[in-house]
Amino acid sequence: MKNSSDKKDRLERFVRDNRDGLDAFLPQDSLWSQIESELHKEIPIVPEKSRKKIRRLSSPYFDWRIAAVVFLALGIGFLVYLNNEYGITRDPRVALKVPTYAREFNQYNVAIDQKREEIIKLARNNPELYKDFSADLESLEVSYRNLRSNLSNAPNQEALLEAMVQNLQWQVDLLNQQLDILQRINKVKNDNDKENNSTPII
Amino acid sequence: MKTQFYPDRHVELVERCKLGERKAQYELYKHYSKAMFNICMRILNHLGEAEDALQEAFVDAFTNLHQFRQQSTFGAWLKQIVVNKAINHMRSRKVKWVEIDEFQESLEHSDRNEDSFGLDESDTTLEVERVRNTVQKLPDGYRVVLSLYLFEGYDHEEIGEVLGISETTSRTQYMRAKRKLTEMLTR
Repeated sequence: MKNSSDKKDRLERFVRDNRDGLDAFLPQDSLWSQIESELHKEIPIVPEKSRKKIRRLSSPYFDWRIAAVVFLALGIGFLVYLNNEYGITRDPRVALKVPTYAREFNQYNVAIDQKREEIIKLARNNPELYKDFSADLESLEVSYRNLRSNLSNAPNQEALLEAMVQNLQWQVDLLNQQLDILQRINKVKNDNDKENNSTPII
Repeated sequence: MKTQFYPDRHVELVERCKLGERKAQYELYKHYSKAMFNICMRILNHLGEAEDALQEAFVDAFTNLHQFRQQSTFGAWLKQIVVNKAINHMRSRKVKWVEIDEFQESLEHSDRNEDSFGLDESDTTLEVERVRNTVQKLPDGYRVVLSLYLFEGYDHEEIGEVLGISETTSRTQYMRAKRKLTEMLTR
């Protein structure tokens, strides 16, 4: 508001002193009834419920674009989950042909991949042994691929699928044994190293 | 004693209005309509437009009364709405601000009688009428700034804000408006 130290000139003083006289106009009497009818009109037109509804849909917190993005993200997440569980991209032929078995096959495949990686790690300083191991596994994999290629024209599909599962089971067993051997070899080696290291101290 | 109860009475009236009581709304309207109408008149200088602005302002005030939180007086809150409504009406009419040079000559000419316009204090009622009429004869831009500053007690910063002009423009417009007014009064 105005600074009180402002120099008041005659005009300002005059206006201040004659405020009532300067407010000379009066609105028409009918104006209030117009205002009143406006007020009456406004309240029933926008009842509380519908106003809330409108506000919720157009509120700054709700945005169709954000909703679409969230929906898309959920959809993609679900697809990724399906793919991980059923291995659709890993082995599409099996997954699409026999979806009831897809999950089982995929679990075997995941396990086989994990064990293989472990073996590669453990057998890093033993390439000869690794070659033997992978040759053993290779024969199983070849027969698995043969079985799989017959999947579309096998007379007895149940039996074929069982054979495939059996094959995968063998692969897992073989890998387990290979891992076992590797771990034993490594343990022996470590013990030798320890002994070699500790002898000079004693 | 009576004046002591005055503000309380209004707080109560406002509360009753918030509950939608028509009679309380009318009481407030009756109390403020004249002063608010004269604000509109000084800004718009047109009876019909001033009534439109006043009507809009009251409808707005009553429908948005829940936003009024008693931080200022109801009168000050209402006045803000009224001034804004009136200025919006003015805007839709497109005020042409008086160019700075336009009244240069008359300014220099009226500098002499700066503080000596012919106000005869002995006959104030006549003088009041004359000042009021002369204010209404000022060009739109001058009249708006002059009435906001002189009559409504706005400072130049507030005027600049409300009109969307700079503080300096408001200041010079006011000075020129006042000189123009005194010049017209002495004529």
